[in-house]
Amino acid sequence: MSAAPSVRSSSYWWYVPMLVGSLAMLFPLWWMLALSLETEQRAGAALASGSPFDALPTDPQFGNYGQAMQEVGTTPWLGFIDALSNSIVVTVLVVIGTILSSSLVGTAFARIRFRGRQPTFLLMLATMMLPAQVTMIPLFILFRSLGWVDTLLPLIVPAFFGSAFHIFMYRQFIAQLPEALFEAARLDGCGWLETWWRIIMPLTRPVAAITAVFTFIFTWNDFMLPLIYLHSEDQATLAVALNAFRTQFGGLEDVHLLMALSVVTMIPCALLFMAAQKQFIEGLGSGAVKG
Amino acid sequence: MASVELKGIGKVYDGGVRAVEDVNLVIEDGEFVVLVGPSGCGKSTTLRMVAGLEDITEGDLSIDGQRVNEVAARDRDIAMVFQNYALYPHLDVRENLSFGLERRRKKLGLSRDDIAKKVEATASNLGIENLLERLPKQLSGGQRQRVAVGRALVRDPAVFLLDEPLSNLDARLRVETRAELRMLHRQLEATMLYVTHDQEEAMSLGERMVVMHQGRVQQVGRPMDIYNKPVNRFVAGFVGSPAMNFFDGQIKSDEDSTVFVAGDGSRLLLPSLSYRGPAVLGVRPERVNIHRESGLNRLPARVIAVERYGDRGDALLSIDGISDRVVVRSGAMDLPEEGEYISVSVDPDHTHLFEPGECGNRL
Repeated sequence: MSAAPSVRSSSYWWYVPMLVGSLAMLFPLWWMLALSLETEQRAGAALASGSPFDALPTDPQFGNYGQAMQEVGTTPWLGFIDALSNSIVVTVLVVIGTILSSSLVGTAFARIRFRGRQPTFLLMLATMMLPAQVTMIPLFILFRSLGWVDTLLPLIVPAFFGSAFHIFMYRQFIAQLPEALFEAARLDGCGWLETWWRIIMPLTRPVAAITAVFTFIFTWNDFMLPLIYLHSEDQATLAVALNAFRTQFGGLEDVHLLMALSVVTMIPCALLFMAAQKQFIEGLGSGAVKG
Repeated sequence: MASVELKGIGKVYDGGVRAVEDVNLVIEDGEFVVLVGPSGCGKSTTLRMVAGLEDITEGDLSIDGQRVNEVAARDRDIAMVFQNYALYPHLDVRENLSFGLERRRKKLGLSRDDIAKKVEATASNLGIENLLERLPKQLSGGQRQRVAVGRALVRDPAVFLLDEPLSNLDARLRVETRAELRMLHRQLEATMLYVTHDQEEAMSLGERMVVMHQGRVQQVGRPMDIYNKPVNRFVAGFVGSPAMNFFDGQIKSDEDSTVFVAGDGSRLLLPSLSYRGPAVLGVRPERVNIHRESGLNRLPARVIAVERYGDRGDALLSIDGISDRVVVRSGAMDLPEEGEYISVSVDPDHTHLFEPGECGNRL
């Protein structure tokens, strides 16, 4: 009788730091949302005062979103539509390229016996240690020589050459599939490509889902590569457009528009998270969180 | 259907590990041959070399007279039933059955309709026509096994290869499926090469048995021929359940006769034999005679344990000076009780003599 209350009361204590942590995590999100719905004056005043209680939108200004999207770039609406479509094209193609290439290479490492397989695999893993900054300049020189600067190609094409982390995930998953499945496919007349497409791809849907979620979020939010390679307004992705918007409308008087555009940029990732929470958490568990 | 010939077939893995050595075997068109042996004896490796799933290091493999060493697995016109069935988990039964035919549709000149009809006919033949829309995970072990067999059947191959397909089934289902496999073989007159570690299964299924040990073929023959006349001690001990009883001793001359002298000095008169020296006497459990009274040519024994299986049973005996582990099989009515003192005898015509050693040759 005396043990039960103490067990229950000790578990309640855990809620306190969790609640504090959750509030701390959610505050920036709420702050952004609140400022995006405020009037110009109230948003600026709240930002200047630094008090979150000055940004409680009693009269939500949904028109801020339309106005923000209009103000992107030099041509009303077109700048935003260009940026949005570029982001969509890049993100979708990068997701597709990452899944296709990583699963293909993962299959080779998991199932095909070739000389030097293990050292090659370790070398591939070792590339995960390389910071992106190390390869930034040589890659820029390469793409410049190809004439790809100020196009979307440098953002898309590398995805079709595999991602070390995702190759590793696929390799681990495929290695667990029964060998007899592949032998049966061989006897049924499948070469390796057909085995990959007809047997491995359907069976690795869980890995594909995790890969898709994380690649989408990373690519959609990527700022560095688009900043380096995309110079023209019509080639910009949303991340670059948002940065340009910040430069143009970075003052206190325009913070409501900046926040509105930030919310718009964030929506696809938020929706994806809500739809694919399970895959997101599985991916975290497998060490998928980067930076 | 086709014949299969293995000539000097051997397999050496990287690092020099030899799994199979000098296997010579001809499987006639329409014959059911069983490769049997303990785990690690090379039987599955041999099967996989025939299938093309393992490279052949030595020797020649021919299917229907054509050398196929370098022919890819998919081009050998063989079908295989795997131990764990290897059904494609994301395809339903219909798709599993038709998968191989779909891959070869143009090569075989089949229309989609032809394939659908073949699938329906095979499913009906195996009694799985009501399972065609199910996924493998929705099937029982026995149903999966039928689908695996069906997947091989629908291809109408020259040779069927079966790698311990019954090992994952429970005992009753195994016995039922064995009978069905025999009927299927008779119906199709198919060339079948079957691998098992279960010697009972081998004896009940095969027209011919190939006993393997440590990568080498020990004996090839009809099951009862191997049972009645094993060529060496290993085959004698492996084939037959319960296993043969072995007694170490010496073969000596006794006046004009040949006798086997056991450890305690007991003598057993043997048929005429030229060999003299150390030897192993083998007696099948069902050939040990049980007596309630002592007598001439009988040895005293104590019953340590008795197992009854309804109409028959096994008794474990201890014979002083000879062996403390002699197994006797008898009808239920003749079985002694545990702890009882009895005597035993053997008929020399029902004994087997081998040279000493694990694979001592038959004398």
